[in-house]
Amino acid sequence: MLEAGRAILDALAQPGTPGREERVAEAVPAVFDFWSLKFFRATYDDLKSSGSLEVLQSTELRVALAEFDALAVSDVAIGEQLVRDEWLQLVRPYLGRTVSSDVYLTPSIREALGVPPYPRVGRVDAVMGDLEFWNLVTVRILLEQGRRGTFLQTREVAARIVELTAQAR
Amino acid sequence: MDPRDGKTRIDWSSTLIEVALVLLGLLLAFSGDRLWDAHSERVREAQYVARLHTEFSATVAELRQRDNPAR
Repeated sequence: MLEAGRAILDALAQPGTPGREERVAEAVPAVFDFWSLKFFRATYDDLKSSGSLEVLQSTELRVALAEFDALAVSDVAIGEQLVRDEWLQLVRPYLGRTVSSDVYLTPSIREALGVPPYPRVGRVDAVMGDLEFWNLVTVRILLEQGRRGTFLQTREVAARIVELTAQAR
Repeated sequence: MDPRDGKTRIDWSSTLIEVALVLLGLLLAFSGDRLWDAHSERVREAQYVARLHTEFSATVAELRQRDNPAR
């Protein structure tokens, strides 16, 4: 997403460059894809809800699981907040006003609806010189960068749990 | 019964051995039970650890895919 956002800002900053509109149209769905992480954690939830975490002898593993739990909860909360505050209030109304729906339908929405990929050419020209669009992309990049810290930590702890469980097997 | 005074004589050494055997039996039974519980707990732990390993491997794969710049 961050790369796509930078690609848009680069394209906006270089008026008159050939293929500029196509690059923006290509990158818009990735930038405005309000993703959520998928965690596979049924066993941990089972252990936690049944009060059986003590069955795991490794203190290191129990600590890592608790750390992961906190990070996952935090990431889900951040994702929900972004959807609520950014997507619903800012991005969607803006895109609805200016860019045709085939552009702003995100890959995840298309997948959920079971619709085939749309041609990604809409009224992108309508936003190219618009400062509000520039601001939206910039805010999106900044918020995603903020979320990235939690994301990387979550991934690191999950990888540590994989190592610890491999050792304990 | 002692034929000389008509009283019953208690064989203390045999009685003590019998009591000791009963206590030993109880001790062995409790120890076996504890060992079995510990074994069951370890089997349960191994099952949980295997499931955690599978699930977190899938989570790591998902997180790596999400971080793929091509997406």
